[in-house]
Amino acid sequence: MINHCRFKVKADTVFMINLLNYNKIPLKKIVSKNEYTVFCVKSIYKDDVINMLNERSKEYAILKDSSVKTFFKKNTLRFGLYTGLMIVALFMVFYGGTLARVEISGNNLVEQSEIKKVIDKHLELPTFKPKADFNTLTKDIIAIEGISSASVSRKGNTLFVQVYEELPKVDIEDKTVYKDVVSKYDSIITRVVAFSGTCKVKKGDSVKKGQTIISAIVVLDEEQNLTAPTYANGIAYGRVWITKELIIEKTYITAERTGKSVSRVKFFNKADDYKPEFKQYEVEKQTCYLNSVIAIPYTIYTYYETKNVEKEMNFEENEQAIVEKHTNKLFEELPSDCMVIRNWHTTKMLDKKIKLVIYYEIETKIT
Amino acid sequence: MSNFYDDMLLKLGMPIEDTVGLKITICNFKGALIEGHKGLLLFTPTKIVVRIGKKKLEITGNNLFINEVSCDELYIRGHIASIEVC
Repeated sequence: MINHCRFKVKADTVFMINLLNYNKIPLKKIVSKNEYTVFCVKSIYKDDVINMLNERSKEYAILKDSSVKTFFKKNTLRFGLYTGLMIVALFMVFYGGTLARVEISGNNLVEQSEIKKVIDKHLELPTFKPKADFNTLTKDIIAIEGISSASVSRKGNTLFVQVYEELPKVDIEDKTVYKDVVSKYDSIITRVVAFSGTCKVKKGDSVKKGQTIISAIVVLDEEQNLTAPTYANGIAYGRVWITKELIIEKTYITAERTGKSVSRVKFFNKADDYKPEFKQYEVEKQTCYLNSVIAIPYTIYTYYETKNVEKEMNFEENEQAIVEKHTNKLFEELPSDCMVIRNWHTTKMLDKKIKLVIYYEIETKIT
Repeated sequence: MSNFYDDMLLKLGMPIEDTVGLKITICNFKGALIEGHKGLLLFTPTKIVVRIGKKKLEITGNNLFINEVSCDELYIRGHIASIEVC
């Protein structure tokens, strides 16, 4: 029963009924249990009943109190919990409705940054209500060179962009043009195979860059000096020396932190366009997540003030690292199908500079 | 000119001045509403005695219990066998 209070009193039933009746307190559902009387009164009489029972030193217990006052009293402490739940619910609605991420798939030849640029023109992420029309966005993505089709869809807070690239152009060789096969490098021939045409070199021959290796003319009859043009085709491998000459300064300028710094926090990986008051600075970016359940990404941008300091380099100490760095750099520039035979370097100390030459001896396709 | 209640009280042998406002309603012998009572004297599952002025109203039966009590009303439920004024 709402707004009622159920009492259990150690007293005779007749006594309790007459007592309350005399005080004009209506009571309901009277049950007599051994020496106890159980009854219900309206919540407004609760205090009066308690006073009466206390005055007569009667043992009593309140079995149930369903008054509105008690309900509020009981639930006041839970308001914090309810508020928290409300905030979480609101946050989940907001987070679920926010378009925060973009996933691009299907691109191998077209740069992802190029597609992202087009998306950024239409959408500024994160956004709660994306104003952009996905059809226009799709059309703009298709307009990128190399993309034949695209589909844009939204699932939760992620925008899925699926692109289909155009097929690469087929490289068709024009065999009607009679052209010599020439060397691409200065090299010493190690292997040569002519499929058509006349081979002009043999193993061990040294050739210059641009020199004919397989001629497009075939001798039909030597005596009559009868020749015919043909499509020259073949493969030639040779030993090639690739060198790189570097001039290294003995002094170098480096940026050192002064100790002053400014930190800023940006949510949802949003770019920070803040410009600190430092003349020269460097930025350190750290991406974290606020909560492990609902991952809210945020980035801490730390701006450190720096100043340029001129330092003298100890080449002897750093030689190995410098050589290794430049050797690796040169290695990346080598033809992809080459076989490295050996590599070495030479150094020459000048007045204020150091001359470093790196050599690579490789065997590669020279045609 | 006497009314219906006065006739009833006379037949029950109850003085009119003692039973001002007294009214007993019995529902199918399973419930009784007593209006204008002056208090309860006995309460057991087989017998309930209610004071009505100078006399008593005895209700006998089985599984009797008081459902509701207000300042001048008393609602009794259970199998009522007899109601007697003594």
